[in-house]
Amino acid sequence: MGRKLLLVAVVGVAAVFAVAGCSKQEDGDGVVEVQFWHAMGGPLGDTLDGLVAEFNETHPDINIESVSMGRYQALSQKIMAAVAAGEPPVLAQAYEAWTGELIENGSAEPLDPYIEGPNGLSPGELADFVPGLLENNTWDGTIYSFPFNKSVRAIYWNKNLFEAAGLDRAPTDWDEYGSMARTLTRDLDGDGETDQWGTAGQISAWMFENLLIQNGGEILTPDGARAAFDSAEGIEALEFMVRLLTDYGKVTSGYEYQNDFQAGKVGMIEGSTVSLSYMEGKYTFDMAVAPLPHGKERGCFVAGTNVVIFSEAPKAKKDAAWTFIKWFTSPEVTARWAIGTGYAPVRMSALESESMQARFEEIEGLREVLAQLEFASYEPRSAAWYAGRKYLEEGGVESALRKQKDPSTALAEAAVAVNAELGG
Amino acid sequence: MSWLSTLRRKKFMDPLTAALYLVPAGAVVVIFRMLPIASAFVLSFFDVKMGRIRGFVGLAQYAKLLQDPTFWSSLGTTAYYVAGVVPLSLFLALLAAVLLNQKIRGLGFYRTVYFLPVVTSLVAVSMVWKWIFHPRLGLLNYFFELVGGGSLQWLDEPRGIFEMIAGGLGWSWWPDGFAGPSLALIAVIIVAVWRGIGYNIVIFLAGLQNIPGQYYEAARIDGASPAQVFWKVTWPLLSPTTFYVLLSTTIVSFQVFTQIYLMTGPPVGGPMGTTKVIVYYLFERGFDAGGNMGYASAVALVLFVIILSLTLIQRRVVERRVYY
Amino acid sequence: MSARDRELNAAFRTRRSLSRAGVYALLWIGVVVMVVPFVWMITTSLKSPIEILEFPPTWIPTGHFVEAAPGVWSEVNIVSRNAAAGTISVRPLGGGPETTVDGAAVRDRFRFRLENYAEAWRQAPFARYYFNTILVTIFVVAGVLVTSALAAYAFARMKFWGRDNIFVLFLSMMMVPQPVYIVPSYIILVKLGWIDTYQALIVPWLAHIFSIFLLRQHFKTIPADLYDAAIIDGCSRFAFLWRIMLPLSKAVLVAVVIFAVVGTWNSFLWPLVMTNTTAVRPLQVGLARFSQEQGTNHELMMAAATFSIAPLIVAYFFAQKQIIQSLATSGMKT
Repeated sequence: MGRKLLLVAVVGVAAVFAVAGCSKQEDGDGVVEVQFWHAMGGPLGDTLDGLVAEFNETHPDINIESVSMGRYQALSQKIMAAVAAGEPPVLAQAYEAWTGELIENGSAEPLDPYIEGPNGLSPGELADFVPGLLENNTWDGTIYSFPFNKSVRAIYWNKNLFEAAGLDRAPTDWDEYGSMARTLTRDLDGDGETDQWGTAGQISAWMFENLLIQNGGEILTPDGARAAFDSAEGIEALEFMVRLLTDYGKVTSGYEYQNDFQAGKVGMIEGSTVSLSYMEGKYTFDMAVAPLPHGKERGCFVAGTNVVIFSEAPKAKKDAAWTFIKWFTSPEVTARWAIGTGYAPVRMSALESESMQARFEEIEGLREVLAQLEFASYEPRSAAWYAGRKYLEEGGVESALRKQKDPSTALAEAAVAVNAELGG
Repeated sequence: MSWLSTLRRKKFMDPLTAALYLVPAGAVVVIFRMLPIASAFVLSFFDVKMGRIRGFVGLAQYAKLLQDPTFWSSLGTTAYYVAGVVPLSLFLALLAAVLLNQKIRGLGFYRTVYFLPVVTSLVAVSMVWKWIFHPRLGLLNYFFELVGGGSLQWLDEPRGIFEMIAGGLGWSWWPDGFAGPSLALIAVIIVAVWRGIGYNIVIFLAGLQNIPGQYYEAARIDGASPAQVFWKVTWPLLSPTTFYVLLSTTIVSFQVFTQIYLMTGPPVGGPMGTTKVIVYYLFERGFDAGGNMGYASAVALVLFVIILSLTLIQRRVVERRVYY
Repeated sequence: MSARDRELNAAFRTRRSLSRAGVYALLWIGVVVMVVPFVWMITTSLKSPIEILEFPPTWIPTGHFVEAAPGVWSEVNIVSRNAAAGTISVRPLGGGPETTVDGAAVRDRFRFRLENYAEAWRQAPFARYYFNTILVTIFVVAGVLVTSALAAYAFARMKFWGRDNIFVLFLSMMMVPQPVYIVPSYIILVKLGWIDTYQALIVPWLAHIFSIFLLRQHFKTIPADLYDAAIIDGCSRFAFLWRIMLPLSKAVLVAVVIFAVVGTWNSFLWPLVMTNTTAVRPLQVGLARFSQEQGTNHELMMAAATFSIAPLIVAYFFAQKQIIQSLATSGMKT
């Protein structure tokens, strides 16, 4: 028996070698293989894979291999480890802060030669990009990354619950935001416990940052050297957020607040435009979206990542990766990407396209939500801010939302930690 | 024929032949165990940014480690975790083993069921429990509500449990630093106990079955009560087993990673960093943006020293034989 | 026996059986605690995304149906219940206009959504993950059998300089936990060009020190006379290992296989660090990525968890005695 076991094992190994001898695809037949690492899961991943397959079909000499790393944190760990190993992929999604580190390491390929090259983009096409996007991908006058999946925040509101509460539209300013949330917070069965909430959200620096600029505040000082979110405007914004989410709403883990909203227990939520694709078909009420209410001013941050090409890759692969980027950000494709995922199209002409117009008909308020891109701003891009941001989220926003500290203390303490990160 | 035998035996002494038999395993052990372990030691003295050695820094990274609040808090979190998992797992496993040792019917059935989680992958286990701990839709809060308790935030609750208990008793003030492990960490501890208890039960059961019946016979003749039998006979005779289970559970618990990676956050280690254990900190320092593999190696060495000391204590004590 | 004696004895027996009932009650509490998470996993995996959100939860997945045409029942989601009017507002499962029907018109029926499994299987390349895990497991099992048998034979039967010291050195490697050497291992695999390859998952695990130890201990119990006799008969050393030692070590070899299978199937940190692409990504890492991507689709996550643990659980039910014994002797807490 013992012997037989061993024999079977050896034969098995031999057999498997014979069957699976070819474990990795090699470039053959003139097809350029391009590995593309991203963090697009669920419906986003489905849409992306569909578009990648279409690209591969229409570009027989290129094969984009789409590799999902699950989520951004895991993607960042994988990219940094791979760069350390000297074996990065050809193409990857990257936040501006990662790109900054990659540039410093000499791993991010400057894209200007591609844009200006024979397979490039005309000045007219460049002008068609949503204003601000390309600037945000430029470092010292050089474009190192290209906008890929960009989103803005929106209000999602349950029209049935609004109607039942005597409301007929989404809030347009902070006062309405608060008062409508209060009206929507109800004890339906009269047992003394709230069972319908005005709003809900997760612990998120993103929501705070949006409120901050709506209130006239800034994340960092203009030179990016110190925290500025602990200003009077910041404290007021955080106080408003705490009131919204704890008095007239609730704080949930991760994206569970979307589930609560889908279950019809929450009147309205703030979410990324991408939440749309996650909620599609999972709610049983009339839903509409609306732009963020304005505070002292209108304000919203653009979130999401860009794509970078890695310098380490051979020229043919880099060229192929650029061909993919150019195709992906073309008006027609970016519109389909936007419709499939809820991300904002990166081209102005895409917003006018027939398919986007049809989508606007379908989702009430989406046009106004995407119009926020016109005045949108961008988070600081430094690696130090990326590292420091978690202190704002965990130390500042989280401890205030959990009522462990009052907003001014929470922000002051977060500012100290962020300043330490920015200084060192 | 003894000369022939001697000849053959001589051939057995041929070190070359022995080397041939040892090479396959030996090569793997040398290249993939000894070399990396030695490298970890060496790397901890170098600044290694994005895979590039940027210079020899001597003990600087250890000095930085001593000043690193995240390192200390991750060590503290790990200590809380170990201090939670080990006694709970030992007590419950011993209880179950003693019950199973009562000549009950269906011993095999119970043992099979209790051992089931041990063969289940930790990834799947973590996913299932994360769902059980769900604050609103989870099974655990459902049970709590059935028996009239309130619902808890479990994996989202950063408050320390001592502080929560004090709050429940109506004390609004509780000293900083004595808040205890967060409820989120307690949730992770519960999963670890659930997952590993079957293993400890089986070891305890084997230990119990090895206790010679004559001791129990003698105790019965002396008219000892069940409690006396347990404390005077079972407990001392079981002590080598108990000690083994204690140490092995401690050593494994120090290395917790998978549950943290899958159940907590995002970001992993949350809420408010209260579940960031040392192995996750090492992983983050080694592989994430802004990381430094040299610094991660210094963290690894500290972990190694802790586990090595535990192992050596185990050796020492087990060799002395633990019959208290 | 006097009447009094009998009475005492009976009372004693009642007390004994009472305490026995207590023993069984405690054991059954344990059974429930161990089994309920599995039941909950399977139940969830068979629910619709909307049923997931129902609280209190249902134990058996249930769907709501209305009679769309005589004899034709179509599934609906309940939007709201009006207790006063006794009506229920429903909406067809695939979307569509909301209608209000009489409460009695809505029937609840068990509805096991096996399609969740197909959906989860489709959403990520689980077939590939399975293939990768099985492939790696086969290689590791085969390799560990070979390397352990050879090394154990050398340690048990051959005499060479420094044998015992080398053996102790091997054993001491068991004391070093994986997280300690994962960073330098990554660098070594980079230098070998093995990141994101099968080699990275197989070769470093081709030697299992505890298996060598176990086999050596067993080989030592095989009487020396036996091989003296065999050698005199002209048996070579390898033939002795192959023909005599191994057939006598069946139980230990099975244990070695079990360590290797369970350890490889469930390993996580190593493949998480060493693989990047789906081409070589094993099941556990694939499952983890899947759960990170899914966000709130609990039914799909539970379906994926179920089919990922199924093979080992099935194997466990067939060979639970060997598996429990092997894992218990190994000190291996996977």
